[in-house]
Amino acid sequence: MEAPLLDVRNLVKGFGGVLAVAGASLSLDRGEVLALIGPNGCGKTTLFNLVTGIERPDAGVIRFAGRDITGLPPQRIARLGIGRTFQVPGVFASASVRENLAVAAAAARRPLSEVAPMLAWAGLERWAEEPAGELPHGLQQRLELAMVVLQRPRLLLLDEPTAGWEAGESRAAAIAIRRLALQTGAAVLVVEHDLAFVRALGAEVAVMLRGRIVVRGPYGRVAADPEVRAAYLGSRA
Amino acid sequence: MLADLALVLLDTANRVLTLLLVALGLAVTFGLMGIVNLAHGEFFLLGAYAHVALERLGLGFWWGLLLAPVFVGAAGWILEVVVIRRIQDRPLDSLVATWGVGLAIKQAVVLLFGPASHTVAPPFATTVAIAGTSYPVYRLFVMALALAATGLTILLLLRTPFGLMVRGTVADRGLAAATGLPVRRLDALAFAYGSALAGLAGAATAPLMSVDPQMGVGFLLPAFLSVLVAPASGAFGTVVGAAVVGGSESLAATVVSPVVAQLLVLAGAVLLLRLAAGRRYGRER
Repeated sequence: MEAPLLDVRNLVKGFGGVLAVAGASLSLDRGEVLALIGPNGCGKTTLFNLVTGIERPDAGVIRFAGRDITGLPPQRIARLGIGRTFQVPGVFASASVRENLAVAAAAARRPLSEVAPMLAWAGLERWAEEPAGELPHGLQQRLELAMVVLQRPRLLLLDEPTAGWEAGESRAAAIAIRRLALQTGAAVLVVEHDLAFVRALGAEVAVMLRGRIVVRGPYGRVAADPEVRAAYLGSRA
Repeated sequence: MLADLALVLLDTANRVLTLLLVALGLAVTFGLMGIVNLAHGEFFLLGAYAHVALERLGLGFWWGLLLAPVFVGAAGWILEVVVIRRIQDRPLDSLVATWGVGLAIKQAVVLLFGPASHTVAPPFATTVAIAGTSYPVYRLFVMALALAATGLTILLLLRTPFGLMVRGTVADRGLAAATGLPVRRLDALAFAYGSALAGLAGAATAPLMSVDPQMGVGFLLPAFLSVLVAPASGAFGTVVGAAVVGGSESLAATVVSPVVAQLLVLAGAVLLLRLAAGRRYGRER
């Protein structure tokens, strides 16, 4: 049997006396889409930071395509094919939209000729020469996603990609992300608070509570889980 | 009268462009990367001595001019990997460390070449008549070289994938790493490039001055000032900075005296820096 694309085992990370991630385990196959939900402070973003090498775990193992990547620096992990977006969009603020895409292309050794089609794909042609830092939040998110997609990652980690969007927009974004996974064959792990988005995504859902993945399954089953209802979904489900 | 004026203007342009050539490397390592490299003057010195050594090996002037920057660039790469990257978040430490490296380079030069001065003969000793005054062709060549190096550096930083990646790394290291940019290699390459420019400046100006262990000292301060007073970081801002510092220094030296000129430049730089106290230089973190 083929090893999962991403295999996280018993990951632990503490800051001071607080365990942000307390033995989290998670696996993701090629082309699979998974939504990761959980209340604020449950460790979702720290988990992303551990997988992408921004933080080093205190314990546990992270394997990507069968290779142990635990503790590798972020640039090496990115070059292995793990792309991510941030809650606050990670764009080079003083560079133009086109230059941002060009940096992403250069980093992934993609030809610069792919920048123009990606501008069109993201609907950013009008703003191509604008400094990225001056774009509205939503457009910065779009640029950030375009930068990651341009690099053709095998695994895409999206951290609250629709934060601050209207409900209609976030449903459209969920559909776009599914299509993206189908088109590129990339696996997608997406952290999101917006449950309308998670439902529209139509993917499996994993719930993180107090630094651990406590349940995983289809949205309906997860939403009915008593521990999840008590801790996170509450009446909003 | 016209000939006198032409000579003053040519000498001023020569001083400005020679200073620009020295400051250009600092514009990369200090202006862009934010590293206070007090050994920059010694990299200039290394360029001149490398030129002397390569000529002694029988390689001739042009090979010396070409290979000296390569040698100094390699020295800069080693300094970045061995010293700078370990202390780049501690400006005071990098100040002391690079000062120490500068002393070591200077003493090594004294041990290898002795304390006396050396000369490098210019490839063309002819002069050309400009507005009634005769001016050495080699000085004009150095001025053209400074402009060409500046143009190439601007093109490299603004128009190539390497320049894009360096600017990305400088703007936001964390994001650059997350995007997959090889930040450490880029640091070393950019620092090596800035050092190579200092080496080029030393090799090119060697025929214009006596090559001795102190030759880097006179250029270090004005070069730093050129980058500091530049209205923008990078090569283009440094052109303006070198014009302000070198131009005012050269004109004041002609009108008053060289000592008064240096005092005036220093006082002007202090005033400018005081007025621009809120500006940020170097890496944004």
